[in-house]
Amino acid sequence: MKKTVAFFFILCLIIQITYAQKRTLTGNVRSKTTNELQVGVTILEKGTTNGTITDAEGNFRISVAQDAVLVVSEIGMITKEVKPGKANSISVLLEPSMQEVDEVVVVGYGTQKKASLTGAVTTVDVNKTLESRPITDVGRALQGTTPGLTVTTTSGAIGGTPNIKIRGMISTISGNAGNPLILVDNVEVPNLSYVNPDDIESISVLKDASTTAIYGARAAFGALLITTKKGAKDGKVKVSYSDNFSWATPTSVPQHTRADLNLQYSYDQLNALKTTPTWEFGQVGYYYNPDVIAKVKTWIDTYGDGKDLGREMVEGRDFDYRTSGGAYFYRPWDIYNIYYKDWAPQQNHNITISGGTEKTQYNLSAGSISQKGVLKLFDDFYKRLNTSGYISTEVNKWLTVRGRFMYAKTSEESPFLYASSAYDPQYYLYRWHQVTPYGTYHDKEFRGGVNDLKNARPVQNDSYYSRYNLGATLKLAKGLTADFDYTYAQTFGTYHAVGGYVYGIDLWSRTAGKTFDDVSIIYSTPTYDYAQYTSSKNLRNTYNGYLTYEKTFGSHSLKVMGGTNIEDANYIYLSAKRMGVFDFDKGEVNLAGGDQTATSSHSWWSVAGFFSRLNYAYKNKYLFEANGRYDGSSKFADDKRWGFFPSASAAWRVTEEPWMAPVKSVINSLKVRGSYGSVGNQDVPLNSFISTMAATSPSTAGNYWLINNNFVPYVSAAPALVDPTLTWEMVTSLDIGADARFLNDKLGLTFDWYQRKTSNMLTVGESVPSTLGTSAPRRNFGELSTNGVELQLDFHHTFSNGLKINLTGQFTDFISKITKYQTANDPSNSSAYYVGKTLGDIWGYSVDRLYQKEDFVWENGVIKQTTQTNGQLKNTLVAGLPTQYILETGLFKYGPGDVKFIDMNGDGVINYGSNTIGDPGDRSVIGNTNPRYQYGIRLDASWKGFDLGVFFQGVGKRNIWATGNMVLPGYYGAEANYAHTLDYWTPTNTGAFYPRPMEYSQTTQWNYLPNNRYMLNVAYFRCKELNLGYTIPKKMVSKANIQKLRVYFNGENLFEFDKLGNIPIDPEIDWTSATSADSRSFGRSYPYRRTVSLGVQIEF
Amino acid sequence: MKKNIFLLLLVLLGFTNCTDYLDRKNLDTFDESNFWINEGNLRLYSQGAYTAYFTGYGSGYTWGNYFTGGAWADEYSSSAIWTQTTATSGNGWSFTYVRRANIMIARIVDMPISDEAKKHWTGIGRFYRAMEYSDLARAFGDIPWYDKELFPSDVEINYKPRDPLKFVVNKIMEDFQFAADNVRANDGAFQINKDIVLAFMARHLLYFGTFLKYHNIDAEFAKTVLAKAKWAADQLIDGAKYAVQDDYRGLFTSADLAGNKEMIMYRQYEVAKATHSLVSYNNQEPQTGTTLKMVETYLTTDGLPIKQSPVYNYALDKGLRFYPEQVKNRDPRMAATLVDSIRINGAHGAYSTTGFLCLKFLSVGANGIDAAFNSSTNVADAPIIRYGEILMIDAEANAELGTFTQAIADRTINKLRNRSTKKNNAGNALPKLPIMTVAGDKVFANGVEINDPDRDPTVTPLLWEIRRERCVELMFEGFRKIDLKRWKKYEYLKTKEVTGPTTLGKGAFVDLSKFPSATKTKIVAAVRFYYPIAGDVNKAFIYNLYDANMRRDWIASDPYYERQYLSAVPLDQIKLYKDLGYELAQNPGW
Repeated sequence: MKKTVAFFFILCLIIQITYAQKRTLTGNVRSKTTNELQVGVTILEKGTTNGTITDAEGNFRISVAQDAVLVVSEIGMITKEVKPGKANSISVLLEPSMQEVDEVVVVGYGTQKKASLTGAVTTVDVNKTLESRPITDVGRALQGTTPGLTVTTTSGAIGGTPNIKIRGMISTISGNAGNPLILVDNVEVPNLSYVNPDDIESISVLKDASTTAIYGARAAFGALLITTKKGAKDGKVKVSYSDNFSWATPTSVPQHTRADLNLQYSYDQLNALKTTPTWEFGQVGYYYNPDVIAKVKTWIDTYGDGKDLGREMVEGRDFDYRTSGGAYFYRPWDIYNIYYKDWAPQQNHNITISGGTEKTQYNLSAGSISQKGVLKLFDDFYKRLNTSGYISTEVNKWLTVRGRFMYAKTSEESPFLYASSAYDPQYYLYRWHQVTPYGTYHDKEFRGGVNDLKNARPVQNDSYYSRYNLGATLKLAKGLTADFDYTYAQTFGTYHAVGGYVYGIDLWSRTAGKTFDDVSIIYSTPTYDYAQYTSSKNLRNTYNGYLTYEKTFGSHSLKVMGGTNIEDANYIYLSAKRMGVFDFDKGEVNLAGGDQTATSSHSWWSVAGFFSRLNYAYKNKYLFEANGRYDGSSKFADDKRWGFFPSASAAWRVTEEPWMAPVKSVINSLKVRGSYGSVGNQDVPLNSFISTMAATSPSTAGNYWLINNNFVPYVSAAPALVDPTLTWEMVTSLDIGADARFLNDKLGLTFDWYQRKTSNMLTVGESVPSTLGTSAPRRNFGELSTNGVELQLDFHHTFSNGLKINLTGQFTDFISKITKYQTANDPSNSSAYYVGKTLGDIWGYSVDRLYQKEDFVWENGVIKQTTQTNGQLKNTLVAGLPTQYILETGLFKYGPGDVKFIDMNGDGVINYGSNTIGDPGDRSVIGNTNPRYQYGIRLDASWKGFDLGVFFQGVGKRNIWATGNMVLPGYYGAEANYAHTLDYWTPTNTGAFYPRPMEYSQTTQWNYLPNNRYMLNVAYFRCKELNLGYTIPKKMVSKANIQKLRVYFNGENLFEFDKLGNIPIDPEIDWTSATSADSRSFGRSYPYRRTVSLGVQIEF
Repeated sequence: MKKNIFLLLLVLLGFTNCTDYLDRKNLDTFDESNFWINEGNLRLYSQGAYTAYFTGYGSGYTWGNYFTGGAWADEYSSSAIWTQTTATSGNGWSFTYVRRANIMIARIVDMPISDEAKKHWTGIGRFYRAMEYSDLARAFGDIPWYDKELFPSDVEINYKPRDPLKFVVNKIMEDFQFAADNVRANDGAFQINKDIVLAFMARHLLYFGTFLKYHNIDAEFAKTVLAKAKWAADQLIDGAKYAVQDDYRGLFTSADLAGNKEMIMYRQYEVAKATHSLVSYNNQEPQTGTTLKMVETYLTTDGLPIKQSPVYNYALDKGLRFYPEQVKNRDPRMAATLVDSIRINGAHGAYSTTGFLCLKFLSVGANGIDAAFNSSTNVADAPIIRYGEILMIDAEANAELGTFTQAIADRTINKLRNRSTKKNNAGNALPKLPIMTVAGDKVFANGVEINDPDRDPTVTPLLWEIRRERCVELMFEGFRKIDLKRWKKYEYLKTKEVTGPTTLGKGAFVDLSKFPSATKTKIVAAVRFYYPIAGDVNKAFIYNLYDANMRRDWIASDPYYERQYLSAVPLDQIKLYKDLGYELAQNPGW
């Protein structure tokens, strides 16, 4: 205590002294190269928090201590320290920084100066990409920022993780299809959303073999290196706080076709193939016929949107009972308004405390996110809490120790589904006609999506990630250091679901003569009468140890590094479920009395590797790097476990040559580089080399055999044939690139061309006849080749009026092809893989137009019939038109209003040949589902404390062959259509886009055989982010001891341009696991959102 | 310091024990190497094939081979036409389950279990192999026979030519016989036992015996096979463990079939565990109806065909009579199979496309509300193989062998006719059919010789009546098309019109004047009719095959039609063989 008092006294004294000796300095700041006055330059009194910035004329005024040293700094300029001495007015000249001279880039197990890099590494501008945005995970924020990095999402679901790929969407066809390794401080994280964006100091994207080789085993398809903040050495405590409040609204919401028109379409569609129309159709209790359709029209004419009628339905006005069961409904409902909020809020808060001295540094942070979903009838949300800490201290001259922890908790709540996961609220939102009774009768809800959602209890999905790291650096001799780091990480996941029963008017039961009150029952089945917990545990140990030796002899500099990396993982999953819950508000397994089931899974793996790297530079002009890694993995058999993977790269800094001096003022720097090498990939399914026999112990209803009415465990599959000699896949990459800066460093360019081959790919075995009874064992056989280019440009300029602009752009393109595969002589064009296949190719027909009446031969008012060879009668086309009856099935015959395909091979017949590559008939490759020409453009500007950042991102070319009524009206009859699909062919609307109404029974047949007319073009250009901020002048806030105070507005996904025409789906949408489970539901997924937000950043 | 560096190097690179560290064998599945150790695991393996072979009413929205779940035949009004294109892949040409059985049989040899257990489980393995080859041979005829596990390196064996059907049937017979001789009589609840083996043996060997006979493959061998089918059926009959149940509908609609004496094997369904949707399809939903032909197949209460029976008096109006007259005084199984009123589109919510609505699988007391009768949450147990079928197998095998006698009739068909069937399990029992009496190839009911004007002249009256009995007893149980196949009678499926609609193309006769005019308007808008009486638009047959493209032709000995008896070998397999210099023969006509 005495010590503290003394310290305080001394501190006061110092302040007193400094205060006493103040003086005022004025001056200006100019650029050394242009001699222009510089605006907004920071002037700091060294060792204090005292500072100012230059005004619009480039002048400053500051009150400093007598012997003060000024630190003059500005982005894009070399920071300069100035001793004013006795002068009261000074002029400072700043030199533009040759960015790459100083910039340090994080690479595997170390850092390197950007100038001496020889491999393909891109760093992400962390501040611009991650700061002051309402992002929930780093992955989404990286979309479009980095050449070679592709980030995609399939829906706008809250929580969730995007797909992240480096150089190619599919890099291998086994295992995880080639995900990059994501490392935070050299240790893998299972999920990028566990990382608090505010903790990140740097992100490096390692792309070629020479940069990833050091990580070996699991970085075959690139690595994302993230380092976290470590605190400063300046002796100060920095506290920063930021928050963000945002509101999100769906980007696009498909509208139902108006009720009467929709029912008419369904009616026509279901009757399309009938000579005599069926009088009435119906489903889930609502029926329609021409009378009903007329009454619906009258209802709309009378009551409009009906909003002022309330939810209670009135017999006679809104519906009539149907004598044989069910009812006729006339009243349309605005289902979107019932389901969705207009705006869903989100909050982010972050606080960081960091600081340190020369010997000890620390960083502590905490952050939280709370995001609400768009559902109105259920409070769905995603929450995350992060904390992290870092401390490092120099124990003595040769030993520095450090420790880190990281903790992230994520919580998600979504409604319990009284169906399988494919049939979520979005599925039902878009499923039925507008007349479906979403109202009430005698205050009771009807059976259906709305009532299910209202009665759903939350499904809680939480995960807890924590990680502890201890490390040390030893300085063993001059230039020789050793680093050790051990990290223990654990992820726990829990899931809790409680089902229940739903009460409502069950119209689905078509009991004749019953009123709605009669059929008001508990309609959900006892299948959902359960409580369930699952828990998972994923434990990881990671040990890294390496020695680094650095030495410069004259013109030669040398750096050698070698070490070991050992990792293991252990995963356990357990699920317990019990039927017969006593009280659904206490949905605990021990408070249930019915059958109980439990399942589990348990797996583990380990890798060990020894790595080394050698860097050599001659006069800092010729640069060379070699890497080698000897890797072992538990995923292969004893004798196939180890592999050695070498790589090398070299660069030539052309501008360091004396003969380049004359042009150096224009070409400030130019470096050409190349790399070649291979990395092993062990990301293949577990237990590939042993023949396993999995036992199934059923726990949920399914196609199971019961004994004494109980589930029976069983082994279903015979042991498979396996190849015990399976070993590493080999990923070889060649990269040629260049980095250049021009015009006083204002313009920068980075270019890369690469080729990546995944060989020895685990693929299907040789072709074997069905008589074998199983497939041939998988083997190291296939080869996949990805070629691509990447380009990055940046430009910055400061105008004389103080306006600074910074423009960056990136472009990425690649194509992946199968170059070796077990392929039949003339492979089927529906094969997933064959030699020569460009991954993502879509085969289909090309459409000429829709058939019109004039295309057919008519007799007595009907189309003349011609008997075909198989005895079937077909519509007769006028002479000269190619027939396409081969594509007909059942009673369907191509007629007016149907799609007329192009006779690609000119043989007079539209057909599919042998459905092979060599004989595809009239089918050809009509599109590709992999994104091409991906780009991002970012513009930043600042002026007098205002700053503006706009980020655009896009994909130049991409197609999806989607199905379902949202994109193919009529794909499934008896369900809703959408307003944009009203443009269908009728005898009076012959120029329509969509064909005549037809029932396709969820099959891509007839007009909807995959073709280029109805294939989606999902290329887009989108304003991903707009950020407008204002930093309050320091003099106004410094009295409150505030270093920095910035307020801002942010907009995400503000607008976009796409080629979807009037199809109201988001261009980033794709098949999700839920929609691909039911081909009807493409587009019926969680909406993407536009977000606007306001936020504050404060630093003390 | 130098020492330090040396130590550090050791720490850094000294993980010499990596072999153990990297040894992480799988934890949560069996390995092939540690699986074949005890009977419990053999049972797990055996149970893995249950849902494949003993489908019952299926699961979810499938219903196995019951009702329309099987292939279309004359049981249903169908506009399906013959398969026109040769399958490019799949088509049932799969040997996955052959391999599965062969591996089991081979592994048992070295297992540390008793000889008795080895015999039993080898019997189970051979039973599965026989079941699988029965399916394959029924689909394709000649089929390569494999009795051991194959490897890709066994090229010559993998690509060997198809073995003749006769050879394969002999192997199937040997497997069934071995299983019948060695499988335990009782191995616990729902475990495959000797009776189950015998029942399937009888079913499949009856198929092959008649197929070999009627497709003129080998008449002598056919007799051997039929004799074996008869032997298997006799074992079950003589064993006297099973009996015909009075409650015919109860066989198909019970929530619990435990203790039902007619069940040799059945499948259990239970809430939230395994459920099906067959009850729902019979409950308040529109359904595909049966044909007029099937309705006309049911005998009248005097045991005579309708066109011969004075009780029915067909000559009176040539069958142009409306419900309930159309179905009056018939085999009581008709009332237990079809609804006793017409259900027509436009007038009824739960209608049948032909007006004849099936209730065979509709649980007694079913309503539109309870989950047990709606959606895919039905829990009625499903018969897998029942004694009634065994009796029909016995009768038919004897008839085919020429050994059918009154005693055979009395212990088979007359047992089935002796059921005391009630309409929808309520009220008084319906009148029973008189017993069948026989003299040589002639059949009598109440002393009257049956002479059905509709009889196929190539079939003897005895066989005709046995086939009728089989059709009626096993209606909607998935046998009909397979039966026509083995009898070589796909010609019965011809729907092409020669003189007006066939009884396959027609549904119920409807007197439209019996409906209120508003309903009549809806009916006429919804249903296509055929008016047999010129000028009378009130008297009509429901007519589903109104479009010529919906009708099937059949031209005997025309390969385009005859090929339908066997499935096409998939083209991808034929191409694969050819690419490698082998030949896989296609079935004729494809």
